Amino acid sequence: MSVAKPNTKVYADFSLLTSKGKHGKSLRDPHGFDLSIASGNIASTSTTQGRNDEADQALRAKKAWEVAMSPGKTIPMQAFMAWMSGTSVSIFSILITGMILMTPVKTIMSVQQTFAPLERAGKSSGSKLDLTMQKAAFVAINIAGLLFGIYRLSIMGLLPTTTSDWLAFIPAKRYIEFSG
Amino acid sequence: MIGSLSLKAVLGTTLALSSISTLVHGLFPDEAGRIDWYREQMGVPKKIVPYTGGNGTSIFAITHRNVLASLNPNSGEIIWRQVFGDSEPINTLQLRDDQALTHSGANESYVRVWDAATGSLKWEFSHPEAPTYKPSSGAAAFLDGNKDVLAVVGDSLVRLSADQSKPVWEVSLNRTATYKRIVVQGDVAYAIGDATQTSKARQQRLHVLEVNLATGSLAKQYDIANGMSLGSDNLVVIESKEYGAYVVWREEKNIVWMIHRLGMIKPMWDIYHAKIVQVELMPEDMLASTISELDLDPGLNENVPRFALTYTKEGKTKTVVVEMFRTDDKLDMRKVVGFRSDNGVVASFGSALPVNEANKSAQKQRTVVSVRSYNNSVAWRIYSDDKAPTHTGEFAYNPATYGPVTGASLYYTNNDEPRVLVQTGGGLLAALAPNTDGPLWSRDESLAHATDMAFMELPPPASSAEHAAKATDPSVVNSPLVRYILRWVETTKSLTMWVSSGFGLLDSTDNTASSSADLASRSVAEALVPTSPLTTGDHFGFRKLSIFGTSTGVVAALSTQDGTRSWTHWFADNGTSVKVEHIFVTRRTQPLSEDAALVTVVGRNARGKTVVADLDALTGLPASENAIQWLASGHTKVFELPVVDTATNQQLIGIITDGKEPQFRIWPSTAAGAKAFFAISDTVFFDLGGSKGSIQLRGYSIERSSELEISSWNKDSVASTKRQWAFDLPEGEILVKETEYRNGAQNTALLGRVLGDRSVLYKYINPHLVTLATLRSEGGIGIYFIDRVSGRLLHSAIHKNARVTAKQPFLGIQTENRVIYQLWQDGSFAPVSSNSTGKHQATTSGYITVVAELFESDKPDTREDSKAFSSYDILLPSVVTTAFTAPEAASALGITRTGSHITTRDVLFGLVSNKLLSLPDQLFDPRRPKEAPTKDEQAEGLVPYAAPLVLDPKRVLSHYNTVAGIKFISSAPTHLESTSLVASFGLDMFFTRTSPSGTFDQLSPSFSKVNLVVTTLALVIGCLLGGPMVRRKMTNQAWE
Repeated sequence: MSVAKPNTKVYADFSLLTSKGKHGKSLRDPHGFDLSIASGNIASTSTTQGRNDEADQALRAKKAWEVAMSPGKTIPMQAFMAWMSGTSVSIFSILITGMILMTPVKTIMSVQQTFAPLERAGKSSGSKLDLTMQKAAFVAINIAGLLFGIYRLSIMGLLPTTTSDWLAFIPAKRYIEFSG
Repeated sequence: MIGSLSLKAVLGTTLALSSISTLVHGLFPDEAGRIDWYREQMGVPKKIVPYTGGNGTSIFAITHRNVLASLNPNSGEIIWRQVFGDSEPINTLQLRDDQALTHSGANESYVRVWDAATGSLKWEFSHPEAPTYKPSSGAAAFLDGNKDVLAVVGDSLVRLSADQSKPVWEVSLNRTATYKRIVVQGDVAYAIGDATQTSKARQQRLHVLEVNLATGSLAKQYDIANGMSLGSDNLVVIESKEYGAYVVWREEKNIVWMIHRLGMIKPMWDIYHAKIVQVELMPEDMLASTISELDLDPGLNENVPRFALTYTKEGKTKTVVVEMFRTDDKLDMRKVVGFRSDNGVVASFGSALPVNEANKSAQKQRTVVSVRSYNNSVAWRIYSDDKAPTHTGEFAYNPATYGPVTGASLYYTNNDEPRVLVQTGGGLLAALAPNTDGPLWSRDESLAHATDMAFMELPPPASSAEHAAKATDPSVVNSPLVRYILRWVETTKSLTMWVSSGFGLLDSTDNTASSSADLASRSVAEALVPTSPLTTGDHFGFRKLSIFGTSTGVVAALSTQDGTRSWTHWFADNGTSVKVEHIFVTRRTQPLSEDAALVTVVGRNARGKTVVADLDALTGLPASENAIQWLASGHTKVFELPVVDTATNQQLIGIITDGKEPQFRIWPSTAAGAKAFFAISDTVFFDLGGSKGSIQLRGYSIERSSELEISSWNKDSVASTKRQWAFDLPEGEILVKETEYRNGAQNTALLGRVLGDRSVLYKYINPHLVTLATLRSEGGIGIYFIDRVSGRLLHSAIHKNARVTAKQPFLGIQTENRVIYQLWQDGSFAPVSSNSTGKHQATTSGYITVVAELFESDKPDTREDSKAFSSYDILLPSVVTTAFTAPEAASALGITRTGSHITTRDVLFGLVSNKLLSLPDQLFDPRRPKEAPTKDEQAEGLVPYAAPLVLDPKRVLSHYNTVAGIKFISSAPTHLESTSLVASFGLDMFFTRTSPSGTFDQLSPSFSKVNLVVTTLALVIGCLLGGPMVRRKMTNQAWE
């Protein structure tokens, strides 16, 4: 899976290193180590702090788009699997159709958890990142996947959409006359 | 691409075919005779001839069902039989030199000689239809001393040589008479017949023709016996080798007997006063006397000729056996023996010669048997002279079961033990022997003349707990819950018994003993009075009563499971059989209900008057004092009405009787019944004119009677009818057959047919549909689908090259939205291909099976959207038809029937090759694709069209049984949806069960209940043993 896990530390957080130990600053930085460079805050001055947050947010937003789009990449593969398994009703095609249907549902259910690491409040600014668009796109793509699953059900003839599916429920006609 | 498509097509076809053929239709050997039963029959005998040949004595019979049979004299079993065609009555039977001679046929005549021991045909001579043929003429006789045969065929007298089986000579009879008798006397033979009435001689009389046997030249011909015919009660033809052949008769209103010696012209005849025969006769007694022949084979008679004279004096009937003798060229007659033959019942007699040559010479006299039937017994006596009878016997017999004795014959076993063969009006044949209580054997041949049959559901066996509870408090068992609990109690009890009996393994009772596979014995070894009539069925509904009505007046109830008899009742009017035409079950048994099940019988007497009777369906006795009623006139139609008489809980029957306008009666004809009927009478319609030869079909409704008439409705009340419509057949067409839905065949579980694209073609199911088949004067058959409520023509078709004759009948059946019919077609049946210039002519002829399927519309998903169906709606069905070549000629068609109509139906064919064949109805689908099936057609499971319907041996329900002369096929549902009961009858009877869609609701015979129990027990033991071990292990783990 190419989706980034939310708690994967793709970007290193070196802030820990700057924190004081119990006994005050007991360790020196190694030679050539500049914390401000390492943590990406080249301009570690208070004036550049806001710019750093913005970049971080932009980065996270970009990352969130990637996350939002990631389910779309699986659809072609699912389609391929669906095509391979055929439209006849067999254990294999049923399993694959079940997977095609269940995956989007499960993913939609976990949309908040998926985006939680990305939208958490920045270190300095207190505001949460607004990922509504990304979430909407994420949900939309998954709904498309779900629709594909339903389409597949229909081409397999498993949806009660035709008259024959309701034939057994049609009441028989009452005969008004009797003849002998 | 094309390759893959055709591969798909092949695969699809294979799949579709395999979906039909995966069901196993064959029969396991151990099932034969267990799930089915068979009765071999011959029909009511027309003539019985005990014959002693080189292989001992056997009984030969020709019957009214056109069968020639040889019976074992000791057991009554059929040794062999030959079944003649329906339109080929057997006129003559004669036995000589271990050969049997028959003359059969109406216009087309056949003379056949059979090997008496094996029944194989030795030679035959047939005469084609002759325009000069005199109806019902025909006779044949062996010549003395050689194996040649003299026969009347067509309008000729021929001498046939056994070697060449072609005429040695032939004499044209010039339509002088209807010849029925041939007498051979030395070098000459006489043909005797009823003389043709001409403008000069209008009176009935006999015509005698004398021919020289060697040359075939006509010696003389003359008329005798004015006013008489050959079948008359006052005329006999007697023969003797020594004395010659005579005709003895008494003219009406004449007290003298005239005797004519055949061939003698001057004097024409002698006159004898009847007193010569019996002194005590007064003139008025003589006027009512009748004469009858005694000898079964007069041609064998070497000694004095004999006949019997029966007269009534002072209310007592007496029979006298008279023999002729000669003193000095003067012919005289004397009495041999006389016996009473009255008591208001028919007496019969026969005569025979002892078998043994030594005995024969010792007792020169021939013996005579007299049989009298009383109200509860049959007594017989054998006389050889006027002294005491040599043998007597009596057996308990109730004439209400098979009617009184109407005929008797006598024969001797190889040890010269006499045997008396009696025949009753109802069609029973029984052999009686001295010093035995019951009959030696008996055959009920009435069932070979069955006209209708109804299945009657028997109540399931109520448990003994239920009976016990009912005995203490009848109201208790009304609660379903109580009954449920009682059933559980019973089941638990039987389970404990089963366990204590060693799981049934120690049980030695053989369940199959009652249904012995001995086929022949079933027809004969049957108790005349069943000891325990059937009153309860089984849990699966396999055991029902099949109640038969026959044209010999017998109504009989047989178990569908093994053919054992429950009861027999004989219907008669003044001692003559009533022809039973319809059987209806009008009240079914309810479990633990007091109301007896009823069966209503509708019959007709010899004069055409109708009788209706309610019988208790479990005992066969009249249900009440007024249960048997004669209507003032005859009926033209009888049908069940959808109404129940509220007073008696009995289903009503509508009877249409003759009148100026047809009259409508209801049965039971009570005020309560009338009230119930007239509540719905506005919706009741019927049609008339559906009989063969009709040119118009008429529809009627029933006029409402006034309230006063309804409230005072009695047995003579009738409702008037009103003509609603008339359907005139086109000019030059006459009706051959009207087919209607029978036994609820219009019921269906699914209202439409699901197509491959999952759309629906809605079935057009019209219970009022009737199919008319007509014969067109310019040739061909017309088919008309008519609605009999509105008289509308729904569909018509013409089969130009088809034919209907007596030998090539039209058969039709209606099931759901299909009409299936079979007819003979000259030339090609196949659809003429359009690529030729219309010159496509095939020469093969044969039977075709045509299927027409009716839909509400030819467009899928199109339906007349209404909750009710009325015949007056403007809705015409869309009809799809196709035709197949039939595997063989059929004599009857049927359809299987199940409880909910979910199981597919099989179409049943009674084949003229004596088989009962069942074919799945998918085969008869008119939508079967004629070209490579499309994807949708494959998805629908349509089998590609193939013209021939294949006779798959695995689908022959009757397996190895020879089921001859099937005329009716009936089916009844069981409590298992998969299984239906099938009954075929006509001549032979064959009952079986069949599961058209496989036994999907039953465990297969290979399912091992023992394995199931053992496995369950093993698991329980495993749990019990394993549980402590696991617990100990867990405790040990916790301590570590």
